[in-house]
Parts: sequence; structure tokens; C-alpha cells
Amino acid sequence: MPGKDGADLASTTALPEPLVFAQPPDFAAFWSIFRENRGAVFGLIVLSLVVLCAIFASFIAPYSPVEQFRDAIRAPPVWAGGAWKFVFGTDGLGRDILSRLIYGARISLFIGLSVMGLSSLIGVALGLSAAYFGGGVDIAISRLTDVIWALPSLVLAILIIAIIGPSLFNTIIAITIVYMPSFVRLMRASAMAELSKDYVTAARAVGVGPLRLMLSTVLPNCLAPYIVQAAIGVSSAILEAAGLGFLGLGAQPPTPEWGAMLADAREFIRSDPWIVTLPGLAIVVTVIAINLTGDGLRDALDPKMRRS
Amino acid sequence: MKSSKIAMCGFTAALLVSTAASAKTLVYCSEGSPENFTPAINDTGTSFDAARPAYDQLVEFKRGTTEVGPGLAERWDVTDGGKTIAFHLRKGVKFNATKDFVPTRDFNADDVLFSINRQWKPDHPYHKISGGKYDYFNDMDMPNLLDSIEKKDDYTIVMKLKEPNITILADLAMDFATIQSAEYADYLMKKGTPEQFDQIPVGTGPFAFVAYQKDAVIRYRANKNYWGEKPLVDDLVFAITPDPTARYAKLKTGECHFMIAPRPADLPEMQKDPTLKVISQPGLNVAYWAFNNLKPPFDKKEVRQAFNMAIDRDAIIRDVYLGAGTKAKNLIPPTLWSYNDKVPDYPYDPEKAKAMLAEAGVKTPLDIDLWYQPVQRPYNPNGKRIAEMMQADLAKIGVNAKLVTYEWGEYRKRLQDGEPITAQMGWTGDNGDPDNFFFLRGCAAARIGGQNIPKWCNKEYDEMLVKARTLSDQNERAKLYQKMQEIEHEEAPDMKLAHSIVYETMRAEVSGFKQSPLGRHEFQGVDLKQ
Amino acid sequence: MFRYILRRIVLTVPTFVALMFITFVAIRLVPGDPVEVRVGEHGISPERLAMFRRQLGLDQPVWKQFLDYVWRLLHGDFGTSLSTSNPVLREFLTLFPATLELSFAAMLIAVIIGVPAGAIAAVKRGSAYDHILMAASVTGFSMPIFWWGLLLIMLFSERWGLTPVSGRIDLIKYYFEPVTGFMLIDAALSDQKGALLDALHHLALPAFVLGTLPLAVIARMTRSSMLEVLNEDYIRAARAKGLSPFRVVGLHALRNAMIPVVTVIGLSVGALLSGAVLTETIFSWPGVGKWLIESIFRRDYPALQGGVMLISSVVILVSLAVDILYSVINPRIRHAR
Repeated sequence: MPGKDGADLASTTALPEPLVFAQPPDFAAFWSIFRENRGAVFGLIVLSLVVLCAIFASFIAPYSPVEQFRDAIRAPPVWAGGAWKFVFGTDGLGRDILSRLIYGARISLFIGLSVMGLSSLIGVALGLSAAYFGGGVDIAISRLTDVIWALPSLVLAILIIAIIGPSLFNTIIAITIVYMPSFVRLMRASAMAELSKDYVTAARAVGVGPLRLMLSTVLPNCLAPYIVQAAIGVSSAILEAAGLGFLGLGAQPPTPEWGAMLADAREFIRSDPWIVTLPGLAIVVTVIAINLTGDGLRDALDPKMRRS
Repeated sequence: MKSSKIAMCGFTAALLVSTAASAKTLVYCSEGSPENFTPAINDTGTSFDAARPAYDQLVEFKRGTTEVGPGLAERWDVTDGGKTIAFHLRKGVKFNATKDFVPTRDFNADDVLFSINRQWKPDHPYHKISGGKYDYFNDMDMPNLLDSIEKKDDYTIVMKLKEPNITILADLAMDFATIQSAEYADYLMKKGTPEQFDQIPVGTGPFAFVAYQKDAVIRYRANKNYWGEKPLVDDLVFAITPDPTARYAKLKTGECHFMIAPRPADLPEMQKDPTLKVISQPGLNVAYWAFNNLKPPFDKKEVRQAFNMAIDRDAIIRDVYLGAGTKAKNLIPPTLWSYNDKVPDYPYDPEKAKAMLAEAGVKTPLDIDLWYQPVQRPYNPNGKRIAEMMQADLAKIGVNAKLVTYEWGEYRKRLQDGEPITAQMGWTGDNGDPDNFFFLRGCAAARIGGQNIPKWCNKEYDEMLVKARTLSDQNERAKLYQKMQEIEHEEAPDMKLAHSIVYETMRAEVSGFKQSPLGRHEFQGVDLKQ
Repeated sequence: MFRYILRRIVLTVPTFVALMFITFVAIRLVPGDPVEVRVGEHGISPERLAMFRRQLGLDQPVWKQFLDYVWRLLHGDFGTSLSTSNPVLREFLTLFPATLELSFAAMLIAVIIGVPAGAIAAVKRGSAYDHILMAASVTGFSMPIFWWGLLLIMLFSERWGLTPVSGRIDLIKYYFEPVTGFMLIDAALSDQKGALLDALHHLALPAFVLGTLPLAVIARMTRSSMLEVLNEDYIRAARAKGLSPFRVVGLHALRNAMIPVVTVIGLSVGALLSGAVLTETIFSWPGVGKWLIESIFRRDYPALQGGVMLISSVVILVSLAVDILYSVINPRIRHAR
């Protein structure tokens, strides 16, 4: 699956050399570095547009995403000789594709952000515990992540969906479980590197409690690579959700999820190709925008990893 | 060891000769891998189609019809008021050889006994091989129907029934009653590999099995000595291609000559293409929307009738079936004998439906569950899309439908248990007898776990259903069935949605294919014009 | 070093145990009865249902089923598929070569194009070529593979007629008995003229689709690790000594830059198999990915269990091998862990 590989990219490059970060950079410095990366700025602009679409969907979209225009089933888009009434045409049930794509942004971003939020939280909790307690806890957590890691991500996600049933919410759960290991591993590795440093030994010596030590001292210092990983995680989650939607195991009808829209329309790939092409394009554009922004974040937060 | 190697070389060489440029190879793009090659233990059309070239039955459906004619039995006598049938077997019929088995004797009564007894007798040595699941044999109620099967001599089989049943011959023409080689079975049992029996088919059919690679290809070569209608091509190849778009593309490039199940969306383009030929026929099937007659408000006839008027079925047939279907008003399709065309149809009238609901004391907005089929079926091209259209129509009469589905096995089980309040379902005929449809609304099937999904039990209807089974005069039976269709219309246990139209697409050079109302794909008598 | 390797090998044992447990439990939690699911619209009587349960051991207590499962796994028995009645291991082994062939070809395409492309981008840093390549790379790993596959089929196969739509070889022209299961090898062995070329022709598009993602990642990885290496002192020294740029880049820099790339390749095995599921579905490629998905939909417990076990074992063993290989190439890693 594309996602996991993207995640691999970040984790493998970040793992061997723990980062040195005395202080989090301030925003102005961050922005001046971020601005240098033209791709990232472009990505951020596109991403902002997608986010705006998602937030203001009900104002921007010309129609309701579920309204069926029975007299305009599979109307072609404007550039294929269609009317301006349906700019991007309509789908197999006569629903306006533009409206569905706009509302779909909401669904996809929601999935991406929820997965990122959930798996980072779990990642912090498990990763820090493994690093701090070591021994049995570490082994148990590491084995768990190893097993999840060994299963091809899509197969595992499908297996989970098969157990808990397909729905938008369950998609989030399944993908969270699939992506959790990369967060746990990253957090564990950076935390272990931090724990061996002098300042931690010093803090321990003056009697700082374990919870406080982990959360207020170690965690902030491991955060930079983690944020980069999380940013990339959003795009991976969106791709994975689209893959599940494509197999009919994601959000259920009439939810306008992009992957499901694509799968629903697959039979029209020859006769009315735009119904298939447009949702795919929406996925690609959004995911590229997030990945470019993620690159910029990496440059700005993590000077060692800069693209030079 | 050595000799078998030489035999194998010879076999391969023979193949090479037969696949030389002059040989005619017919490639059929099929939709999936067969579970195995013994129809008795399967229940999907895919597996039946894959094994059918290799086999024959005692009696057979004439190609392209539901009419039962002679097969491995040349003729049969029915005596004892329909309770005894004597089958006179065809002489000189050879089984096809395979790579490691060469038959030494012709087909005879032992093969018939083997094929039926394997499914019937739990102590039969082959009964438990490959799972021992004989769905069709049991579904057709054979264990309760059969009294005895005996071999009178090598070419006569006498079958005794517990009571006369008019549908037995049609049952025996179905794939589960395929005749396999008893000699081959013994040979494998001695060799210690009986499960191979269901993987490499040895039969008397028009084609001889050559090889099978899962998810890729099945190869057959013509049986030039076939007793019946001769195969006209030298090789028959099943190219397993699950995606309909890929099948279509392969058909266009000539990688295959015939494809199963074209997508309705592709049909207009296919029909315009001069290199292709598209034929169609109404399918022997029905799609319906069942109301649970035991649960309010659907225990009221008026409510059920109102829901029948609430759905714009014409729109569904136009936009989901894409024209590949006809609106249904009876349980049986119009092509089946006893179809009652005088039964009126419910019109699409949301205003009247709304009024009837109010009259029946139903308060709107009403919340109901609408279960939709998770998989494509011959009678239902897209359960989800149909459900989404129904949902929109129902909203117009003040009904909020929540869409629900389950994995197919689970879905069916819950429907049979009477769980959903409304659900999509359908049926495909097995043997061309109306009883094979009408039993779906009989009281016996209305039990929990039974096939009567609306759980509707009407005494008058049920009595006629049972009576019709004992009559041998088709006109008498038809009269009963026509009356039953009137009752069903009035009582409206469900909404009849559609009978699909089945399309077959092939390259223009294919000739002689006859479309089967039973959805069978048979390639004897099919030729390629060069 | 020997101790590290030993430790690494021992550590995979609990992973396998956990894997057996998880596959067993997960599959039991799946709703839908494995016997019911095979029944058509016709239904089945309760007595016969009970009989099949007994035959499949589904009436035993769950812990006993688990012990039974582990015991049989240890004896190389991965169960019998419910839908085909064949041993799961045999099904897996007949389908796996197709997946392996596809994945291998995909990886080969990714490496052959990705490494030089990335290396050139590093050398010509900041050029238009560099920018275009990086843009293409981001696009590559942002691509939903199912959509990409459909798009390419639509263009290459249907519109331009350049590649076959699906399948592994032309079934009308060529026929030979499978010997190894690898179509390329079988075609080469068959001495039928043109068979090998035709098999390659069939393999090209699906391999490219599956290879797109690793290609994007490898190009990017090569570029960034190459940039790092080019900044190292010994490369600068080599340049100062007046060695030709080709020798510097081609021999010294690229060789050292390959170390992280090798790791990425190893770690991509899981991702590759995930991608193979969708690629095989779209191209009707008869491999294990498609088989596994179908088993899930069919509730074929034994096939699913055995298949997941086998595929995961492959992934575990490959990453074990990569780890060991990596520790041999780069001794630093052993102490860092």
C-alpha cells in the first residue's frame, strides 16, 4: 500500500540518527525555512483550498451530495459537451459530481486527521512506555507492532473491517490499527535515544517523577520527527481509506467518499470515464498537496533532514 | 515411472499437434475459478459451466431450452402411476481419457449407481470425500423423494419414488445429477488419492479435460467420438477473467471469442461494434423486495400495497438495469409456462400510496430498515444503487429508509430467519418448472430459516401449490398456478421488482451458440468461421 | 556480530507465536458462518449444518481448536480450503510464483529506473531535471494504485492497444505445462517461438503499476542519500585528486549511497504485497493477493488463516534477512539497537 511505504520512508531515514533539538524553533524561523521550499508552499495553498472546501462544503457545493436528478443520469461534464448546470457531470444516480467531490473532501480529511490523531496518541503512549519501562513491557509492545507490521497493511485492514463491519467510523479504527506501529516504533526509538542523554540522567538524579519526565522532558524533544511522520500519515490514511472504499469496505452509501465513488462508477469506465476519473484526481491532488506540505514541514522542523 | 514419463511425453506431443496453427481454438472468457470439477458438491454457475464440457446426465436439457430430452439414457418408461421410472442406457459411450487415467470399459449402469449413491448413501466410500456437501441433491429433496435405485442389467436402471413427483425428470437433468466414472473412482481409491476425483474430471461429455490452472485457465480438447451433438472446434479454453471491463477488452482484441456477463453500461458500444455479436434473452429469474408480513405495519395488506405503489420501478430498470430488465408483476418470468399476463400491475403513484398509508393508520415519518444485497446477482445488477433509489422514492411518501447490508452468507441467513423488516432478494430458476419458483411463497418455506422471505403463509395459495405437484397434466397445473398469481397480486407479500434480461456477447465469427434460459454456457455445436 | 544475528533470529519466534494467535482469534471473530456462506439461495437443514461443523472441528472448544491449529502448523499442515477442498499450502504454492514474478519485476523496474534517476538528480541538484523528477516522485507515491492501474489499462491497452489487458500469456497461441509456475521461466523452457516475449509483454504493465510506488520512493531515497554521500570528505578528496566525475559518482558515491536504499527495498516487501492485492485484482493476475481477498469474502477460514500465516511469514523472514544483511554491511547498527 502506498501509505505504508511513505511511512517507511520517514521512519527509516529518521531512525538511525536521533535528532538533536534543544529547543523547538519559533514560528518566524519555521516559516522562513518553510517558505523557501516552493513545492511546500504550493502544497500548502492547494491543501488550504481543500480544507476550505471541506469546512464550507454546504455553502460552496451547488447541490446536496445525495440529491438524485433522475432526468440527468450520467450527464457529461462541461468539457465533454455537458450543460453548466452540472459542471463536472452527474453519476449513475444523477447526483452532482462536483457537490459530491466537495463534500467528499470533508470525509477524506476527517478520516486522515482522525487516524493521525488516534495513532499518534496511541503511539506516544505505547512508544514511551516501551522505552521507559523496557523489559517485558518493551518486548510485548515490540512483538505486537512486529506482527502488525508483518501483515500486509491492506490485508490487515480488510481483516479488521471483516470483523467489525464496514462503516466510516470502522474505517478509521482499522487504519489506525494498521498505522499505529510506525508511530510506536518512531516514538520508542527517539525516546530511547533521549533517555540515554545527560539531561535526562540529570533530571532523574534530581528526582523528577517518571510520568513528568516522559511527558515534559523527553516527549517535547522527540516531537519534531513525530510531527513529520504524522503529516505524512494523514496522506497515507487517505489513500488506505480510498483503497478500502474501492473494495466496498469503507464508508457506506450514500456517503460521498472518494474511493467508494470511484468503485461505484467502475462499470462506467468505458462509457462515461469522467465518473471514474474525477474522484481519482481528487484523491491524487489532495494527497500530493499533503505530501508536499509534509516535506516542507520536515525541512523546517528538522534541519538535518533538509533537502539541501 | 519410466513408462508413465513416456506416456506423458506422448500426451504432450499430441497436445502440441492439436494446438498447431490449423487447429481451431475457442476461448471463453469466464468470470471465475471453479471450486472443483464435480458438480454434485458445488452450487455456483461458475463451477457448473467449468465442469459441464466434460460431462453428461441421464436426461438433459436440450441446448438453449428448458425442455428435457434423452442424455445417457436413450429412453425411459414411467409406470406404477409415476412412482417407477426405468431408464434404458445408451450403449457404446466412452469415457474421456486424461493424463494418468485411461478407461478400459464403456459407460454402464454402475456409473449411474455410483453418481447417485455417492450423494445419497452416507456409507458410500466417496460420500465424505471433498467435504461431503451435496446441496442440490438435498435442496431438490432427493433423500425424501427416492425410495430405491437398482441396476436391472448393465444398461437398465430402475428408480422407485416414494410418491409420484412430476418434477423428477427436470431435477435429473440438472448438473448435480451428472454421471461420473465409477472405474475412475475405484482406480483413485486404490491409488490412495480419491480427492483427485473432484479435481480432474473424467466424463463422457463433448470435451475432454486437459489442464487447469487456478485463476488462469481451463483447457479442454474436443471429444471427436461424442455420441451427441459434436464439438466443432478442436480446443476449448476458459480464460478466467473476473473483471468485466477486462473481458470486454480481451474480446475486442480477439484474445477471447466469447464472454460471460457483459456490463449493461458497455452494451450500447458493443452493439455498435461490427466485429461483435450481442444476443439477449429474458432470464429465468426474479428480483423482489420482501416485506416482513409478521411485523407491523407490514402485517396489513393495505400497507404492503401502498409500498408497491411508492417505488418508481421504471426509473430503476432504466438507470440501474440500464434497460437489461423488464418490470415484474408476477413471481415467475413471462417466458415460463403458466405465466398469468391478466394480473394487473401496481402503478407508480406516490400520492395514492401516501393516502393509503394514512388510511391504514400509519403515522409518518415512518422509519424502516431497507436491506440491500451485498453482491451482484443475475437478477440484480447493483443492490446498493437500487437501494439508494428506493431510499429517495420512499422519502417522498414520508418513509425514512436506513440502508443495511451484511456479507452475503450472513445476509441470506438473517433474511431466512425473518429478521429484516424489508429486504431485497431474488431467485434464479434451476430447472424451468414453475414449482421451482412458487414454493418460495408456500407455507412450508415460511418457517424460520425457510426460503419464504416475507414469511407470508396463505392457506388457499398453499393448498394449490401442494396439489399441483401431484398432477401430471400441465394444463391443470397451469390453471392452479395462474390462480395463485392472482392471490399473490392481491395480497402483495412483496414488491416484484424485475426480471433481468441476460446478454451474451461474442465475436462475429462465432456461430451456432444457443443462449440458455438456465444461464448455461455450452460449446458443442459452436464453430469459428475463419 | 554472530550474537546479534542469533538474537535477531530468536526474537522472531515470539513474533510467530503472536502471529498464530492473532490470525486464529481474528478469523474466529469474523461474523458469518463458514458453512452457511457456501449455500446458495437454497438454504441448508440444521442437521446437515451440524454435521459440517463437526467435520470442520467447529464444534470443539475454542482453546482446543487453537492447540490443534498450532500442532498442525508445526507439521506443515496449513489446513484445507473450504471452497476447493485443496490443501491451503498447495494452493498458496501454485499461486505464489505469480505474485513473486510480478513483485520481482516491479522491484526490478523500480531499481533499474529509480537508482540512476535519483543519482542523476543528486548530481544535477537544482536543475529542471531535478525538480521534475522530484515532482514525479511525489506524484508517484501519492497515487492510489487501483486508479493508476485502471487509468493505464484505459490508455495503454484499450485506447492505444500497446499492451494486453490481463492474463499472463496469449492462451490461443501458446500452451505448455507449468513447470516452475514462473511464466517467464516456463515460457523460456517451452521452446515455443515468441512465448517468452509474449509473457514479458503481458507482465510489463502490471509490473509497472505495482512498481510505481517503490520507484518513486527509491528515486527519492537515492537522491537524498547520494546528496549526503557527495558531501562526505572522502568524495571531496577523490574529486580533488582529479578522479573523473564518472568514477567518483558511479563507483564511490553510488556504492555508499546504496546502503539505505537496500533497506528501503527490504522494508517495502509488505507494502509491495499490499499493492499486489490491488494490482492483481485489477489485472486479474492469478496470485496470492487476489486469492486472499477472495478468501476473506468467501469466509474460507482455513485458506484465510493459512494464507495470512504464509504471507506474513514471508514478510517476517525477508525483514529478518534484510536486518542481518544490513548489520553485515553497516556494523554501526548493531550497537545502536
